[in-house]
Amino acid sequence: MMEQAALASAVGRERVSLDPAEIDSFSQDISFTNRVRPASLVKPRTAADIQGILKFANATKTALVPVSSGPPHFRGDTVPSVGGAVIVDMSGMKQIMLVDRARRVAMCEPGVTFGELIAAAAREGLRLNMPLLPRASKSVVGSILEREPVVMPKYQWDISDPLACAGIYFGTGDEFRTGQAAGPGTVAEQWAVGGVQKAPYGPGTASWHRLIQGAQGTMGIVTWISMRCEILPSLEQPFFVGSSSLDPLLELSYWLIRLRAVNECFILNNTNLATIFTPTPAADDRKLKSALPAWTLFYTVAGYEYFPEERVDSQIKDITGITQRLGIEAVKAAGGVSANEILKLVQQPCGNPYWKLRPKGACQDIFYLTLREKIEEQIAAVAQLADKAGYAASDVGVYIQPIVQGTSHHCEFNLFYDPTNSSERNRVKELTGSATHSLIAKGAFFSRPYGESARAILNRDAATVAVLNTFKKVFDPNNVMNPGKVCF
Amino acid sequence: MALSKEIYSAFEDVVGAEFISDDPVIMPSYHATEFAAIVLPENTAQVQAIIKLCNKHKLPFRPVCTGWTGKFAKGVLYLDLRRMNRIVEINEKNMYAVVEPYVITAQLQAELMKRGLHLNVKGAGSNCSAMLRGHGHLDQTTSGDDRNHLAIEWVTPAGDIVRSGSLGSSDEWFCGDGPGPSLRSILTSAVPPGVTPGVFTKAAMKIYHWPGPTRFPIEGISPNYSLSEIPPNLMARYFSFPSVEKMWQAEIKIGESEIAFELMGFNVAMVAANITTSNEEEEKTFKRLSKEVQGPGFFIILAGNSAADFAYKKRVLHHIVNEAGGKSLASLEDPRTEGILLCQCIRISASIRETFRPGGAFSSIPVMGQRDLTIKWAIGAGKAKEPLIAKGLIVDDGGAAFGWGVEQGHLGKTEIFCKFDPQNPVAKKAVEDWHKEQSARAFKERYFALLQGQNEEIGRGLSNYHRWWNEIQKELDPNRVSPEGGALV
Amino acid sequence: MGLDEYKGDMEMCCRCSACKWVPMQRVSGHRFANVCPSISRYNFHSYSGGGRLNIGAAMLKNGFNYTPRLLDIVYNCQMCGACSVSCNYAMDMQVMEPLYEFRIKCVEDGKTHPALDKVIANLRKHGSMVPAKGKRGDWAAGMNLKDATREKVAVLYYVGSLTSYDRRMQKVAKATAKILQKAGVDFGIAGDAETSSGGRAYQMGYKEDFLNQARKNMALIKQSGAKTIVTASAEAYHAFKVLYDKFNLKGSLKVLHISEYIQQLIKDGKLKPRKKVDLAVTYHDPCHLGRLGEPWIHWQGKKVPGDRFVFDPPKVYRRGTQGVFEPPRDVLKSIPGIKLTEMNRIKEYAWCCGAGGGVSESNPEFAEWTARERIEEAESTGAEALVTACPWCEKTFNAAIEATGSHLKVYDVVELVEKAIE
Repeated sequence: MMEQAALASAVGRERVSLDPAEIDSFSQDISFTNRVRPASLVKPRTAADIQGILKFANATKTALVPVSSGPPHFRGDTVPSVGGAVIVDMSGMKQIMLVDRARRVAMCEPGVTFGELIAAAAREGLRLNMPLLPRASKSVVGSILEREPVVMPKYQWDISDPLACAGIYFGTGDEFRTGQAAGPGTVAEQWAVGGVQKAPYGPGTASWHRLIQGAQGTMGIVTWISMRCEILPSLEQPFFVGSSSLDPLLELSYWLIRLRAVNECFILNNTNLATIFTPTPAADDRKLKSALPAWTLFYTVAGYEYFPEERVDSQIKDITGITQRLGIEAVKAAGGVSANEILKLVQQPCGNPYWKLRPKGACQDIFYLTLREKIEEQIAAVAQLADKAGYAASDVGVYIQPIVQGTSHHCEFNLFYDPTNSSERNRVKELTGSATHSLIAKGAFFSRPYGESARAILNRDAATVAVLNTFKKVFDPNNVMNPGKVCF
Repeated sequence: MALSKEIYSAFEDVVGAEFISDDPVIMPSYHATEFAAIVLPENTAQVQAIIKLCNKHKLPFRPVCTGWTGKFAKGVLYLDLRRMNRIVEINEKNMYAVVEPYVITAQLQAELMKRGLHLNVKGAGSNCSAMLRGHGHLDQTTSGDDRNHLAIEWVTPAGDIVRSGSLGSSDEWFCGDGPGPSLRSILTSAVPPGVTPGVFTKAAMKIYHWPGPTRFPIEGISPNYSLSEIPPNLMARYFSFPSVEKMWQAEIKIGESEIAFELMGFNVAMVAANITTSNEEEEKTFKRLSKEVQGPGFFIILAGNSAADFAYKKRVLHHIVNEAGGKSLASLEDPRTEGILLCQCIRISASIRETFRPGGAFSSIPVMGQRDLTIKWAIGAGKAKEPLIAKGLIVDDGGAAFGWGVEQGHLGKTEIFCKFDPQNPVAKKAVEDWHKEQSARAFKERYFALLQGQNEEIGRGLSNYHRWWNEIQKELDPNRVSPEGGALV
Repeated sequence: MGLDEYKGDMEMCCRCSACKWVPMQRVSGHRFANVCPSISRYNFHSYSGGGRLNIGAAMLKNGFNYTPRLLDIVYNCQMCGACSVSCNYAMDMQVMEPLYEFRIKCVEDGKTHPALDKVIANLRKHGSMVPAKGKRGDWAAGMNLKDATREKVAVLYYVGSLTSYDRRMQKVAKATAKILQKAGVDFGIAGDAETSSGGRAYQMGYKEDFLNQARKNMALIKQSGAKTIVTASAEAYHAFKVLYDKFNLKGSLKVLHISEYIQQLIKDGKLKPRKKVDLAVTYHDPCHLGRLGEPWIHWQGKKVPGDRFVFDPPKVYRRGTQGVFEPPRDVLKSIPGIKLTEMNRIKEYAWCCGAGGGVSESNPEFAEWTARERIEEAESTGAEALVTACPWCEKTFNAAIEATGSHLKVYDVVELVEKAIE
């Protein structure tokens, strides 16, 4: 109570939520993370609010859990790991600060969703390199800071893309701006001379933005980010290629990306593709699923300002040479699904209900990065474990996303289950654990460790953990920022 | 500053007598610095052992690859990484190559080209390390700065071996980030600008598609190399424009249309330097080319993945150039000259002829970042060169700056330099003043901050990054054995 | 002349490391990219061309400090010129001249290598760079060759110490003589009166001994009436063509390597290689025939004051461009049955055999190391034989082949021509 009062005096009473249900809603999420009730919930709006919160937290050694997206949450990173925590809910910070067509950059606060930013960017002729069908309430800042894979690998030069710069208050309460945003001058002063916050490296030797990404809010509170944007094509020709086996699709996607011939490029299994096209939980996706090939590679060929038809034609010609060599065929429609429909879907956030919740109401994701040649073996291992656990392998959703211009692949398994059915829930929980361990043994790199498996993942690399702890000691010496997450 | 016999022997125990020397006679060849000793480790284990010894004896060390230029403190232990020169892996399917520090870019590039691949070649030249952080002519399509590194094997200043990303977790090289926050936040560079403390002993680098021949059809005898033919679907041209604004308009459109394989904002002084084989020839050629151009310009290479793709790219290029009032440099349309530059700018990345051949010194202000902003600043810096040129204190290169787009124009690099006679004290002072004034103007007018060593004022103006960096350094390097400063590779 | 004349050149070195490698656009892979045997073997930057210049510049400034390490650096260099070619692709500066001058200064200051002193003692005594067993002209017994010391000849065939005295190498002398006879050339030899050209002595730093030899040779040539001298020794070729000219001793003497002469004779129809020689070969460019065989350029002038390293009149640099590269190749191609496959490092950027600069004598282990590297490169072409145009190269390669057990054969160009014209 005393601390509630202290918090209210630090940020202003109006920022502190006293609604027990609202506070309680952050005690757990869809993941299997243990339930821990936060002590309070604050909703900052300004930099001063953030500074006040941090000052309070350091003085009282209170844990802070930064949250950008609206519910439902999936990863467990927004659930406190310790008692007495304060949820810092920035989902109401909705300013879009900049969209600049000439410099292909946008800048926004944590509460801005994909739907909101896509619309603002489109007005300037720009688009985001976005993840696959994020939920409507997903924060752009949250997604980018989580290093979520993006659907246009051609435009992802570095794993940190599309992140450019970030404004953050470290756990110490100090303000920091990364990259070009650092200075000289304030952001507004930089704008005044024609600067935008685009170059990500520095200041100095370090690339500080990389420290903040993947940190799950353990280094500080990010109050805005800038991100690079791409130009909206003037012409798009989407295609998909179906196959009963994965290998030819991986080979095709390899060449499509290597030749920089396509924009969107990803692979879904029939479970996921059917789910995406099944609009409601009640609808039956079995017919659609059985009509679809086991695997579908989706890609888009695009033209821009100059002679777009010629560009698209020459690329399609080159791609056809490859598909013919591989004995596969790119089509516009098959099995009741059209490429245009897929394109339309993936260029927007997911409508409600969120696709992952449609089959059964809940979903547990297992995702990691891997080498192309290991994917099939890993999929087989998960299938085997699923069957063994009594979870039909054919019900597992699979999403494969080449990332960073094809230097690795994000591989994701989606385990749909009924959260009200405790045996299903337990089955999926155990399967998640066993699959994670098996995948690690088969070369999966869990670069984004969440939930119960996080410790096991991080324990494999003690040397890295030692350095991460160095960072933590410097930027958040009192360990107020989301303690218990990552390795902290 | 000689090591004691005992300490020297300890290092000798690690590398063997043949691979350590503190003979003063060799020091002039090592940046004319009195190093404690030069030591040549063979592998990561030896590097680790050396660093542990450095910690034990509080002896600062610096790792260096080819070591083109350098500024070092006296008494530092110099790790000459020459013996660490293996290509560990070329992984075509996952588009990366893993190298040790002394694989030079030319070696890796030659191996990659046999496989229809290539990598970023830094402006320093393909005679430098393939694991360099830096920027170069090919950045338009092959990125730059610290964005080409994947996993890195790093020996920390304390002598611990840390393997970033997937390397640490699953013994694979494809990802340098995670689990959790990325160590690439500090593993940004083996060499300046900005130096990660410790030693990079191996690094995975991103590689890219190469649509050209497995080997360039070079004919002739040095220095007169040319191509017997222009390989199919490749073209090199130089375009000049009526103004910087028009040049920029074309440059950014080219980036957005994704047609350039290489776009290098040379000035004609640099074109002249690269296509000539002597200083005298360069001077004559520069005078001739200066008459042929209408203003600032750029050099561009198109590379088509197919004949259709090449035709498309050419069509777009001509359209963009015409829209901006650009004019093709006739000299480059001659296939012989075209071939020289094509090969030079892909296989070598032109540096030495441009910078060091004339002799004398040059003082440069390079800046990575937002290209249009840095061009704006560079115009002023170029104007500020004019009085120095008029007084004959610096070489007349038309006051020009140069630069290029990075990642299809998303980012960029601009550089401007003054070439002068370092023995002329008036010239030297004038250039130093120019450098100081233009750097200060860049900072004051909010363009960028030129970072040269730790500077409190600049640090304060950049989120106090220097204090955070020092804090991290203190933790990683408690004995302060891995100081700043080093060599360009 | 002297080292201080090259102060500016030495200070021009910017430490780019180009001197360690073949020219960048010629790098064809990870392997066979090095061009300097010295740094490839000894690794410290001091052993590279640039490193040597850095040291030279420093010593001019601060005084000469002849430590064992310095002498190790100085004498473990084949003076092959590869660093110079790679450097001068981009840079306008002298590289070889300061290296020669540094050696010369070492010798002048009495900082010699004992093995090389021994070689020079023998030279002074016998006019030979190899142990003089028997008489110098014995190899020609029974060949009925003109004695150029007694008769006037149009062409003097200069044999050289190695092919005169070394039993295993005399075949080169004999093959050369046979070829010239077959072509009907009016030539003679100096026989026992022949004396070392002095080229190798110059490489070792013994300038005065070289000059003595040069004067003796020019007197002999004048006396013979020969207007043309032809030799199968790349070292001698370099001596007569380049060094004698450098020191204004050559006059109007025409100097040909035997490969150049054979090329001309074939063109003129005087030699007809008709017999098939079925052999897959690769060709090694001797340093002193190839990049260092480029004619000397006489230049006098002054540096233009100012920041640029330019001269008045403009200095023309010897960059290895005009060396003898094509004639041996043309000759090989004219032999039916010969299949020539090039190595990675060829012509002006060829890897040295290891023998030059006195290294054969002062550090045979390093010479062999260098040769082994070349043998490996030759084997990588799939060739059955390594062909060269220098007896020192041939001798060095043979020693390395014996040491490694390689199946590669080594021939001089003249040996194959001899087979083809019989």
